[in-house]
Amino acid sequence: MSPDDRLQGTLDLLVLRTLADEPLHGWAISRRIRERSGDVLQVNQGSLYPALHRLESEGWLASEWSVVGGRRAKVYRLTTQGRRASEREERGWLAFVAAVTQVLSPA
Amino acid sequence: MRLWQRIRAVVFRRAAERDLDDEIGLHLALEAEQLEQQGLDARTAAATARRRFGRIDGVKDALRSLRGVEPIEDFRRDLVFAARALRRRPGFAAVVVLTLVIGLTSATTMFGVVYGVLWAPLPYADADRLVTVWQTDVPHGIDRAPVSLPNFLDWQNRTRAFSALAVAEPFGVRYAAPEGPERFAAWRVTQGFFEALRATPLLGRTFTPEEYVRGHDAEVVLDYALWRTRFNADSSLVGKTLKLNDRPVLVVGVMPPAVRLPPGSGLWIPKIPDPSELLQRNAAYFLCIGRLAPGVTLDQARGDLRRIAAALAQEYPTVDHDVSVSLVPVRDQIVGHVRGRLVLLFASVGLLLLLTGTNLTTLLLARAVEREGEVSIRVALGAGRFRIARQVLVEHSVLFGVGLLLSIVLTYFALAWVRSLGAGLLPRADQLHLGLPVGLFAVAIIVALAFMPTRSPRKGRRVHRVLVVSEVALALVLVVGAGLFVKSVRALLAVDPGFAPTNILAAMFQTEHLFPTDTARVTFLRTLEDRVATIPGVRHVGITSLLPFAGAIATNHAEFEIKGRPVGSARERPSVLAAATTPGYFATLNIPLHRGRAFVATDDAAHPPVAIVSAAFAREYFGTTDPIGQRLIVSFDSNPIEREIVGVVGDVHDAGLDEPPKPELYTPYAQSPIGGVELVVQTAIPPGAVLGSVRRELAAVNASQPIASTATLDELLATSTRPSRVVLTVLGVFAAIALTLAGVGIFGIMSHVTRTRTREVSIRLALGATSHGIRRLILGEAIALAGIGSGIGLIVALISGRSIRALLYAVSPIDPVTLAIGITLLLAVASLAAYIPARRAGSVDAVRALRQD
Repeated sequence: MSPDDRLQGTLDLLVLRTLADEPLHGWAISRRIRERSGDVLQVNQGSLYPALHRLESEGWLASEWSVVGGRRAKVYRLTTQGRRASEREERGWLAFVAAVTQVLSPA
Repeated sequence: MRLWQRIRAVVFRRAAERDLDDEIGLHLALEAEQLEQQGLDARTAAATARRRFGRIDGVKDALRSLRGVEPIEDFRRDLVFAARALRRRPGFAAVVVLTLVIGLTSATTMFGVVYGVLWAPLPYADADRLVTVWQTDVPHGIDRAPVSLPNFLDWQNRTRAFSALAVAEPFGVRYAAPEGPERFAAWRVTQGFFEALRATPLLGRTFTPEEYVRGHDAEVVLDYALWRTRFNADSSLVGKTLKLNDRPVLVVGVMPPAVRLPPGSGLWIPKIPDPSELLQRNAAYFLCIGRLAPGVTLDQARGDLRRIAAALAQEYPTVDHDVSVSLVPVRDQIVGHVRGRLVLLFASVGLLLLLTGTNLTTLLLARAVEREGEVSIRVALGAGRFRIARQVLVEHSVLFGVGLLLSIVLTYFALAWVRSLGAGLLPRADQLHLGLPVGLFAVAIIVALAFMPTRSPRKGRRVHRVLVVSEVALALVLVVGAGLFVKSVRALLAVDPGFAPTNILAAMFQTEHLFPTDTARVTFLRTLEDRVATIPGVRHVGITSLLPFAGAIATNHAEFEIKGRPVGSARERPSVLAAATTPGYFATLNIPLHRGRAFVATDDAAHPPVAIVSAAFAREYFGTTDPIGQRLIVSFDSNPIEREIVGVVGDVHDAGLDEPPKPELYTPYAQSPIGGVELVVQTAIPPGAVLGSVRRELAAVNASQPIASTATLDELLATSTRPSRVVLTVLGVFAAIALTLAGVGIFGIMSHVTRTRTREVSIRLALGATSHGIRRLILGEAIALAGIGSGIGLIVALISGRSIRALLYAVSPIDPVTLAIGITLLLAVASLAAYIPARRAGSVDAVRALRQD
């Protein structure tokens, strides 16, 4: 299993976490995730945009059109609801990781 | 996604698509820029960016479906597809829409009329508690007559069943307009009238109790029509004074348009009973209305008033012996007389609607069969059953939607037409409009029509037969109905009214206010007659107190007894129609003199009283005896006077062509100078041309005498037959539509049936049948079905005929000639409609048809 496959299940969490710091457009989100992970996590674009739109339709993200470098850019930001969801997901992920680590670590 | 976004995504589909392109475009551009910075050339960078992104179209599709627009998108696509399919079959689409529009517009318009006239709320609060009250005289066959003031006052004092009870007295006022004197119809109403009515004035107020006191009663409330037509809807009129009957009167209010009670009101004035009126218990010309007290039912109120009337009959046996009371809810009073005709027309339009439905079924069935091939291909290509059903639904929705919209627009115009057609004929006609109830009715009907079976049925042949039979039956009922009215109206128009109505102008006057003495009145009218006779184009001039077809009222009656044949009591003296006329009257109207002599100028107050009787009078009261020289003791506008019969004249239909002529008595005007008279003028030129001259001569004789109304006798006669003629016109149109629909429908069904029977026909032909034989087979089947349809239609016509008997004149509702003509017509239409399909079937190329399968 490659890191990319593992990534997809947690894409929502990564997006939410990334947007918790500042509003960004789609390309910037994918770049930020790659940079922060030290080029380990390569976001599949085919999943990123549907995820963004889905999170927006759930009300966790809001979007605005602004101009970036002379081009129209759809900039996403976290809503209050999204911030709560982000924290919830994060706790769940950490608990999951802790559990997996426990299983993997020698007794 | 929030709702507005979803809506936006659908409505602004292009904007949403652009957003999608921009978002992905930006990503690709930024990715490519970065790659260029890393040293790639522009083209490789762009290609790499795209490759890294993955399947752009796939992503876009995923995003689109997230937009939640799929179902709506699909619908849009279905709509486009349906429009395209219908454009390929313009004939089919046009026939469906046309059929729908004809049926629906007729039905919706008729519903609008029935609703607006019979059912729409009246402008009176709790209108079902408002009743009109009438005197009855059952032994003399009178069930709804005006009441007398003393009777009314006794009812009012003794009953507890009404919260308000009041009377209105017909009255006329002279209004000194700047252009010359005018006469307005008015009602003098007693206290409680407006409390019973409970209508909110449009402007101002109604009368206060203090205004029903002598000396404080110089107020008037105007009705809407008068206020609009005569005073230009001037809202500052309230608070101003008008000069009515030479007296300044304060305008206190204006009523809204629908308030017209009693009918024909122009204005309302407070009525304060005269002491002398309190003694005239037989002067019954007041219209009475009442509002039921809370908790009192109509029957209880009726019972209460009848008990009081019975007591009054004991107290005043000479006058009230036979008088009782009838109560009629105000809605029945206003629209009761047109209910029968409207219900008839509404029922007819129902038949038309059924025919429309039958035709639509036929058309859509044919379309469904035609679609079968296309559907099987699409199913084979993987289209879902649901998707195909939805496609059909959308196609029908388009047709029905267009039909509904067109029908509603047409109904709007049709109702405007009815408003002008119904003026003066249909109560509340001016209130008809395309409102919510009419719109809802249209939608309900279209939904009902849309739910008719349209799938190709298994038992196809039987359904088709049922359709043909019902088309014929439905159309026959309408055709027979229209035929009966044709006969009825023809019979009515063939009735000799008893006078020659052509080129006769009638002008009505009320003379009692300007000429209080009899001699002054007689002199005035004689001078007027003489002067009018000199107008060029005038042939004859006469005066009468009772004009045929002008709406005879109770005061035009005289009681009499024949000298030498005394009756037991005053009550048993017969009462007949009576007219006071000048010598010129009979010549003016061309009423023939059968025996004796007409009146002459010397039949005046200074000479012996005489009378002329009608032929019906002579028959009824003298039989074979010669009435000339007989003496009558006549009470007409005066105390009993003995009069000698000097002549017998022809009968006149006074009350309408459909009423047999009644016995009638004529007296010389100079011997019985009644206040309200009609000046009748026979002209050699169109009578409208002399009206100006008549007015000038009148002004020359007396400038302040207004003419209350003018009409020609042709108009009056035409007005009297108008209800029947209008019903005939509408029914005739319905019947014509029904015949067309039936013809088109039968043609459609037979074409369809023969098309589906091509195989059978081919086999028959292959087995030796001739094309002539095939034609006869198909045609024979159509005629047989039409025969069955006629039979069923005949039974329906016979059963429903009973309900229209009251609306027909001199025609039996089961008139055999009309029925026979109707059936012949339907059979002819059916054979004509089946002929083309039959011919086509007969000329089938058997070999080719069989090879096709």
